[in-house]
Amino acid sequence: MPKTSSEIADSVLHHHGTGIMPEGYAIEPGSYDEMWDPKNGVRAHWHPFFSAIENMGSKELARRHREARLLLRENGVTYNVHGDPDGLHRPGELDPIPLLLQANDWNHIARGVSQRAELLNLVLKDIYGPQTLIREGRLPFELIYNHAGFLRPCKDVFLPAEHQLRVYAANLARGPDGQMWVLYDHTQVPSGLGYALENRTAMSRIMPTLFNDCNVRCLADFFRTFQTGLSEIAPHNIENPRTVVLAPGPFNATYFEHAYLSAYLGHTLVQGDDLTVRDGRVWLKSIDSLHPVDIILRHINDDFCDPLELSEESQLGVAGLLNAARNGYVAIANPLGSSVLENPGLIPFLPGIARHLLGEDLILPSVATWWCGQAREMNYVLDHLDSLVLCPIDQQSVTPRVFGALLSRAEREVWRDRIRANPTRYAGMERVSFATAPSLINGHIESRYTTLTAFAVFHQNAYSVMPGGLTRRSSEFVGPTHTFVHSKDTWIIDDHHARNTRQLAPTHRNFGV
Amino acid sequence: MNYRITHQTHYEYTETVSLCHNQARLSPRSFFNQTCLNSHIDIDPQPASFRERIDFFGNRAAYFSIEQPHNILSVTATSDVHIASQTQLTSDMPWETVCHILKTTTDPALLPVRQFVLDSPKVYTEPELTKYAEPSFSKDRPLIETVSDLTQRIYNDFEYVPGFTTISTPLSDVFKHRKGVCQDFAHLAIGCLRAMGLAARYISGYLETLSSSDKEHLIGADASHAWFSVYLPNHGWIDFDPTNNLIPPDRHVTLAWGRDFADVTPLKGVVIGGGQHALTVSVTVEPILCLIK
Repeated sequence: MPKTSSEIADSVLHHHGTGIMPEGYAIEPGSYDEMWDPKNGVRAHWHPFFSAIENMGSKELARRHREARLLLRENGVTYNVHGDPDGLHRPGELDPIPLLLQANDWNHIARGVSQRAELLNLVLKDIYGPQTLIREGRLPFELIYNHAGFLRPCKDVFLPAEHQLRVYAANLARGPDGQMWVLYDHTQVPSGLGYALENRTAMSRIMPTLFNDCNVRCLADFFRTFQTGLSEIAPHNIENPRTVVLAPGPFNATYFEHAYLSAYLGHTLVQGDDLTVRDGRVWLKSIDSLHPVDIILRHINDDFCDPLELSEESQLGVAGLLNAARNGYVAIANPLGSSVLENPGLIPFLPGIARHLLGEDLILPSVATWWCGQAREMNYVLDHLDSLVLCPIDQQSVTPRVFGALLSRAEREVWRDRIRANPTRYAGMERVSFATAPSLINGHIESRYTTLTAFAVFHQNAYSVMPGGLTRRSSEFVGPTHTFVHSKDTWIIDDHHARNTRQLAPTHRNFGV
Repeated sequence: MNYRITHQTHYEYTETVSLCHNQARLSPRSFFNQTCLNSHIDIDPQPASFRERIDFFGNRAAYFSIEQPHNILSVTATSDVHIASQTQLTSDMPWETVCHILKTTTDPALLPVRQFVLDSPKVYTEPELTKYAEPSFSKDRPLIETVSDLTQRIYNDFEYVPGFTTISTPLSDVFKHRKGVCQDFAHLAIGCLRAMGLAARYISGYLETLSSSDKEHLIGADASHAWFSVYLPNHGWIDFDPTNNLIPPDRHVTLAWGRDFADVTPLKGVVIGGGQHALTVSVTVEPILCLIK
């Protein structure tokens, strides 16, 4: 919660008089608020939404919020394939106040996400291919070779497609100047996509007319693109490829999301044990036979996917999987080894690589990051621990990311020693202050810090970005890592009436998204 | 010299194995002073698929699967290898110069070398390794002399005790108990060299001990052997065998190299079923005079 209420929303909110708005909508000084412009009051693209909420009244809003909760609980029971009496738990709750983004603002963000996906795809292909970026000195080799996600057995293993990075998610946050920043790249699995879909489904149930009134862009086309984009990597161009979603299983906190998304897309949800490799191919086991599998959308970290060639400790993967991929009998999205891009140390090098490979500047800047593999940068990090987020370059590290400011004097010394002993394995990232957005808190609307995860998928010859995303709200100042708390739907508001009202017919639901 | 190597691995399972996937690095690679004349792997029962590829480090890696129920798996690799005698190496380049070159070079050709300065899954540089290494690294000492000294110290300080360690024993345990086998000593030396900033790699291979000119018994003849190699600019990689305290002349046959054992495990697999298993391994290395292809 913002600590000081230096700015109070004036009559624009007060005149609603519904009791939804508190006496004042307090925003954090110096940070950007998605809804409230200190000069001009409520931003124009929020007006229709607030009018509707006003008409609805606080009691009705509370009723619909309860309905949303009930829907989410029902989903938990529906997808509870293992019969846990409590149902599958979805972490966090749905905040019924969506994040509204104006179309022009969003188009810029979407272009930036798509450009970044394009760039990361080229970097990925180079790392597992000729390594020209390293040989020409555009990427320090330690940054890749010291990253636990650089999986040497995956060298020269490629999908039968020009683009290797098939799905991409970017963690975004808006800085004080209103510019969106990239905090983190997700290049293995589009985690959060299932929740974004579920949030939209629930919102379209509880506020059906609001969608039309506010000109909200639909998600249906994106999910259709997701399906067809995935089928483009089918081995040997076969028609009607069988696609499975490989997930870690019901004991994983994200299992609900996998179950929900795969049901929506019409793909079979499997665990490692459900698959086997025979004759060099991947097969789905059933009671009486084996069915060939052509495409795997994986929700398992790449290192855990094959106990034969990758992490031997893995109980989640399929022995022989990498060999099947290597020989082109199965296509895995994203390819094994793509976690090498989930690397904060890459950030300072991306602008130069973008100019070199794309001839473009990055549309969305990254949060300022110093990779300790360079002497000057390391000294900067050591001298500024207080103001930085300290991150190992990979997630397999035993030390998670921390705020330097929260460390005790002794812990800071431990960090300094750790960085000095192995500088190439660490980076320091600027601690940024995020934008706030209106959220429903105890029946009132208050401002809360938010971050947005945007999703992109490759289809035909370009990345298409989901017109929406998973907005997460947090109660206090957060950094690049945070636990999953409350989430919101994300609405892209068109100025004119949306032309796109087509709906994807889901396999077993009678409404679109 | 020419050698014929026969490497047999025999698994007996208490319960039937329905399916197994395996990866073998049992065929010797060829390089400047070694030529693999021929090599084949006999597998019983018959594998359903078998495919050889060249791995990240240039080694020959074979994948095979057995998809019929079996209680015994037998893998026999037979290889004929020619090894050229090495001339005595002379170089007085100090170890500090080597470190400096590795640290500052921008030559892309040295990339494959520089990767061996970094930590690897089974060998990470810790302060105790630096401390152990330091007495050998006196100022301006030539690299070869430095590494020979380190090799000798490991040979003297550590006891060769088969069975004391397993393939998963961490280096810190080896260091603490001062006991281990060839694999541990190679890892230890590699850790020391990397801690000082040098490039060191792990070699998996065999050792010939039967030649008539040799009376003393060298360790590592009845199983696969392991040693390490260090990089010297303008010369290339120089092998050292800390288990026997020598620079291998022409009786060490190289199978594969990598950052550590995990990169070059001769044979590993994932089995479905099988219960308990008993493993027997035998290796013979015989000099051969003429080659029968």
